[in-house]
Amino acid sequence: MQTKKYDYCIVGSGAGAGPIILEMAKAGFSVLVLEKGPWIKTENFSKDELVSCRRDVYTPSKVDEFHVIESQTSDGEWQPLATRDTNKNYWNGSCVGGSSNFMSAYFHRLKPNDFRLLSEYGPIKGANIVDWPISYDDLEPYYTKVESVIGISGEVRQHSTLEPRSTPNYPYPPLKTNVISEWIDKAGVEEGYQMVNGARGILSKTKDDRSACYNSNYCGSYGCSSDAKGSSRVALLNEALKYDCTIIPNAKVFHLETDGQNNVVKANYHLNGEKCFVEASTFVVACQAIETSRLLLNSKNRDAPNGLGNENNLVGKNLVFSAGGIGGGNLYFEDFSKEDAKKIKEPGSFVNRAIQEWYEIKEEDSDTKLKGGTIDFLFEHTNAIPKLARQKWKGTRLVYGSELKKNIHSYFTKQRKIKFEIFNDWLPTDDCYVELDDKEVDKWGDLVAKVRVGYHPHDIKIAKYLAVKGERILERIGAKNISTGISGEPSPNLVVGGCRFGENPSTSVLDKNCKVHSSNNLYVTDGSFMPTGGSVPHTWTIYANSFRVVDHLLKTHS
Amino acid sequence: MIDKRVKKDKESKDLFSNIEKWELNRRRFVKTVSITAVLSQIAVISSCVTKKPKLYEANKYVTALESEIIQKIQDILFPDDGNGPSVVDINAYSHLLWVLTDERKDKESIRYITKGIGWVEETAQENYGRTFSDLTQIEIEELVAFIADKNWGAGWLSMILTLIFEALAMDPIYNVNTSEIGWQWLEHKPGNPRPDKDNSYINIFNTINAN
Repeated sequence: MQTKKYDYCIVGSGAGAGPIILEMAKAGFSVLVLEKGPWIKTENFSKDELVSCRRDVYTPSKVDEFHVIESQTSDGEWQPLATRDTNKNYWNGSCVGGSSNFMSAYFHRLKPNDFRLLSEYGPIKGANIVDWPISYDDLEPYYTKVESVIGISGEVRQHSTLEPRSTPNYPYPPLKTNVISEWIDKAGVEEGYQMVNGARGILSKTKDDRSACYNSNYCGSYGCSSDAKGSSRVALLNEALKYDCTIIPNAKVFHLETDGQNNVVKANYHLNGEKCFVEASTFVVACQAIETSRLLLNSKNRDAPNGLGNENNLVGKNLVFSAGGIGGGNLYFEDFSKEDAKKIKEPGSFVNRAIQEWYEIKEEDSDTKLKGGTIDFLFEHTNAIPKLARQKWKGTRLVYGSELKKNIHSYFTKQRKIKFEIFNDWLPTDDCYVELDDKEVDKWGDLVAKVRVGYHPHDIKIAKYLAVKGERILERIGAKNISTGISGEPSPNLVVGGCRFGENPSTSVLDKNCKVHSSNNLYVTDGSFMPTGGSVPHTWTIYANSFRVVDHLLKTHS
Repeated sequence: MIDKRVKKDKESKDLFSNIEKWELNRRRFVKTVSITAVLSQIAVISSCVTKKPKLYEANKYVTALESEIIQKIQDILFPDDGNGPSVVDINAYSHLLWVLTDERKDKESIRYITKGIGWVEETAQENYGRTFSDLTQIEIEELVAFIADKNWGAGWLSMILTLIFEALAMDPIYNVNTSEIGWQWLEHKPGNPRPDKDNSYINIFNTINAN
């Protein structure tokens, strides 16, 4: 099925694609979006735990589409396992707007030192650390743009590692927070530093057709019913449709075709059981890091026998997740006044506090400095079934019967769990990459991505350092049973890299404008470009970089 | 018979230290076992089982014996002890039957649920020389304790518990958590908005595809 030749063909529609889709359509170009997943509209979202979490309706069936994950066993062997056969899921929302529909929207900017990891902190053996080809200053205007276009709420507070800003504050005031946020602030002061008032990509006030957050009680992993959450779909794509922009859902691109002269000329895709193609002048791939590398590798042809952009075998390499871990403790209502306990229980309110005091760590008795990270505080997700499921084991003993019922009731009615999440750099290594599996295929017969998920021991060292700091805050606010889990287990929802950008074509896949070095008209604008991931969630940076590429495209193609 | 049981336990225990490996091996183990005749009767349908089945009667999903095993074990795992709802109150048995027909639930988990029912009967025969139906309440409680102490048994009972939790805390639109009895007991506030008919799990795929 081919109708016309478009100016732009965009593969994917999430945070890396949305800015290109909207801005190029607005600029008068014809834009076609091929999205593998369905088009789920706001009115289709509800806070249904069965749909969102128990049966993962927003991600593909793992029988039809899956990944092969290679993890290292205790004896050092790399063991490949198809996610079809495990409880792991490396999909993060396969639909129009991508996983941005379901994000928790903890928004942090990278900091200047994130762009110069090698220069600032030096090499680490076994890690492929490089500086970025752009600086924080290059990206700062686009971070600011995201604040107003996507809609970021919060309050900028001065603190020791606050990144330079061109505006004094966020355009939207902070969301409604729980009393616990004040206590965390106080605990920070007692410890001698200032808490970050965590920004969220969620509207606290109405913006155009989007309503303010109404504190639904279920946020992360769920679609937003007021459009307050700044997904690519509601913040960008809905407006793009007012221009010459067509979105085709359920269109799975499986091959990009070239003309032998370094131009991509066609995107071949599956739709309703048929093989279709579309022609365009410029192609932009943004299907999230793993699938982007997979598509480039699956697009091999006579001119590019190893896959597009893969002349130096770099596509898929240096994949990075977010390192860190999770800690938590119980706030038992009996330890607080009735009034305070009632406030702690308040459903729907956010915590929105973070510490970035140790974004750079200075080692005691030495001049050595290390890159640290971020600690974000939050309540345990309020949906019920995971909370129930966590009560059924005591070590390796299965708890059941009246003992279980008593524990469950107590957990739900006598306490609330406060948690923290640690974000630090997942150092790029030779043991974390995407390649094609040599035999496993998806329901269309296309080779699936095989992902090796090795980590660097340095990541654990930093996470453990930060965990102690997080635990200290929980102690100060009166939490009990405080514990932290740090591991090298990747978070599949926080993945970037695989097509790192850089000045040198022999060491990078993309140039600094995110064009594939060896192509005249192929761009990659999701998180794949990031050579290092920083110590914060990635979404804000992906949005900002995509807006930066827009300016390059407008200059080049006007 | 006893040798077989020991072997089953040994197989699990040796691998339990590596959960992922254990998972794979358990699934391989399940795959190798022939599917029960009962499972083959299960029609793959996508609609919810809405009628409450009669006590211990065979239906199109399970035999009378399997029905009895499921319901009696559910009652031991989550007893009617005066603290909160019973498994009958939350319609846990119907929910389990519906899960057996759920196209979205992975087939190996469904086979695992069904196979486990067979293991319970097998263990009753091995330990008491009688069918599960002929055991006294005390013997059934002993049997569950015995099973829960084995890795294979704890894993299976854990899955049955998870399905009870679903019946306890899912939206009542799915004919579980009757009149929000589970939420009320737990003082749980669900997210807002709750699913309506068009956007519930039963219809969401049709709804989305119509967009």
